[in-house]
Amino acid sequence: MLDPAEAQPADPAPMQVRRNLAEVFGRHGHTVILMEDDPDRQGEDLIQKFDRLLQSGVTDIVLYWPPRAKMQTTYDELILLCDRLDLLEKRSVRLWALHHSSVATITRDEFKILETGSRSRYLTAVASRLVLCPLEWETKEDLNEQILLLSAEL
Amino acid sequence: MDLLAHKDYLRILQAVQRKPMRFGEIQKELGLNPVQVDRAMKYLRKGLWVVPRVAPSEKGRLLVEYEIGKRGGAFLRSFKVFTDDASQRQAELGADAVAELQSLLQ
Repeated sequence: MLDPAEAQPADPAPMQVRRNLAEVFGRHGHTVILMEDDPDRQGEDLIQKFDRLLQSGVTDIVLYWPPRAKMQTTYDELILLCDRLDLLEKRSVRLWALHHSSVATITRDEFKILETGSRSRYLTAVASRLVLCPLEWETKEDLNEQILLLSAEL
Repeated sequence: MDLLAHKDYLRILQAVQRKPMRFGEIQKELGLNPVQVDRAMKYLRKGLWVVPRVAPSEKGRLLVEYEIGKRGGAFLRSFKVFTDDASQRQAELGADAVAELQSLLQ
């Protein structure tokens, strides 16, 4: 969800970008799960659903991280992943962060989160626990290129 | 292709294929200055020739380690085949040209 006060008219909704990502990965032969598209099972709460999906043979998790985003659901999911580090390590699940250049950057040997205030502290804390593979993009063209390259890498 | 035009880029690709490395380790092992490594890593990251990985850390800094990407591995394998083939055609290509190609893989 974008912060309405900061969103630009030309910014595509993150949900739409996630669907585009899924479509590209699907075209390249990957099986993609978007949590919001997977129907809840009877009696299953959201955390149980998260665990079920995570344990269904997931090999990679892709986090789409646009500028000026408020991503409470994503933050919640990252916290859940932090609690499941053993599982991620055991199954060698990789976590890719497809981030805009304004929210994070790599400076020589350091990954720096550029979000402001508590968001930066939160994400730094999460990233220091998870094994994150950051991929930077700046323009829509960059993003499309990174998606294609990542699709070949997975 | 920029990768072929920069010997440093190829050397870094080979180094991280041997083992994942940090920025400083690449610099030290290959005797490059920080500007050279920085320029190379920006290019290699952008093309996903290498994969940056943020290693868990307890000191608050998020340190990055680089490992070879599938694309980088495929490129090195192709380049090796090309160089091996060139070696067999040394008579036509000339010893200097073949030696120059081989030096890129050392």
